[in-house]
Amino acid sequence: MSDLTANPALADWLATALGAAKAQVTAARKLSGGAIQENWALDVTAGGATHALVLRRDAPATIGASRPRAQEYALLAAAHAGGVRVPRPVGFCDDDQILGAPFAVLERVAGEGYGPKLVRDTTLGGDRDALAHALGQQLATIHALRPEGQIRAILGDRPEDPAVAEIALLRGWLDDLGTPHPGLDWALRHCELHAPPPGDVVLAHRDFRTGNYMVDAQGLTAVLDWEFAGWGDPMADIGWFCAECWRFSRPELEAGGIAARAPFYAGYTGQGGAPIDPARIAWWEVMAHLRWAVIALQQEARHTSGQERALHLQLTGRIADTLELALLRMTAPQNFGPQNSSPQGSNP
Amino acid sequence: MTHPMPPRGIDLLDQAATELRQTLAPQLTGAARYHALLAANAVATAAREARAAPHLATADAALAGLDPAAIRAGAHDQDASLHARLKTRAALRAWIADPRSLSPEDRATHLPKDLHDT
Repeated sequence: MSDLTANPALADWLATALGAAKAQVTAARKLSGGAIQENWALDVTAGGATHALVLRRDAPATIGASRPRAQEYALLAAAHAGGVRVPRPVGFCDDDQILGAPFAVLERVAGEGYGPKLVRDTTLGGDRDALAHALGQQLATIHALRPEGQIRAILGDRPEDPAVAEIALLRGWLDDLGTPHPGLDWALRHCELHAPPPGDVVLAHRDFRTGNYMVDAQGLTAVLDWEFAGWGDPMADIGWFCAECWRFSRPELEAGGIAARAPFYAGYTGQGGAPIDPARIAWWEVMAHLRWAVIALQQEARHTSGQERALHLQLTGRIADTLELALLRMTAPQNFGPQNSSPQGSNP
Repeated sequence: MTHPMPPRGIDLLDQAATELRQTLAPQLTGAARYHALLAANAVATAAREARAAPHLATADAALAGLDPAAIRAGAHDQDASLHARLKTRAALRAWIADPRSLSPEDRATHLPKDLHDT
């Protein structure tokens, strides 16, 4: 992909996407992050203006939960049209002759997105309660989207029972890995026994967490990473956001390591989100650890299979071990439920 | 299958991790620094794995013959003994991955004494 600045076909495609007669990529820089995709920052001049863009292309190997790029782009564009704060979509190219794989181009949003840094550095994101509130509002806006047409087709059938479906999905992924993980099976069995009854099913983001949104010094700038979006229990997105495994170095800040739950919940319900159901959220927080554990093992498998040899993938697989311990803490035979690591942590 | 690594080998890994983290990484920036820290983490993880190997072999043996399908089928629901054995093994593996991931109670209950101060 070093050919981004000297690729006439890409320049032509960008000119069309930007509605200009001619376009030139003046700079291209690979961005960190994006284990599943490659992200490139592009500076493009077209029609007398300079455009700061991001180009997203599949990494050499992908994992099971990840949607094809074209679908991810369509979902992001639908979210944009529905008023969700996402990077403005510029275009999607399914001609793999230009860059060897399909790619999406979005407006580049300024800010910081790296979860551990965002949690640690409180000069980022503005007032943290306000940030949590804004994120709750964004999540409610996502859950209010009513998919039609192409998006409806992408999403497929609405599951009757997202909880049962998620357990079956994770068991299938575990089987695909081909190695036994009895600790994860123990936790899955516990979740099966305690699954909440079916309720609302909405278009859910399914990866809504600290690390997948951008902030600047003032606050939220964009909700990113739409590749897992699909039908889900609205409380599942809330559980994913609040799960201890996504609080990084601030486990006592139960809303994504940035704030208490209260402002996040208030933003969500104030924007028309479903009523907060603490028991359902708690169940999905346990499931969040399971889902992340299995995805971490899938990442490691990209390395061990030889698809993509990389140290960061090997080390990601090790995270599954810490998640398994956390899961076994939460699923003791007589003590089912997520454990909050800090005594001062509070549930509203 | 398990061959405990001689102490000199573990010491070598410890020192390599220390020098990657304390000597090399501070001289680097950006992606190079990230990769140095990643490598330091990997070497330290390998050292912990070597230290924990005998205990891990014991923990694995305590689960020999366990059929995950039986867990799924409900044959072990409320099986406190199995839960304890799974947790002991998970605690060792979690310690290898990241010692900070163990709670004080996990350390007291599941971490062998010879691993406490490393």
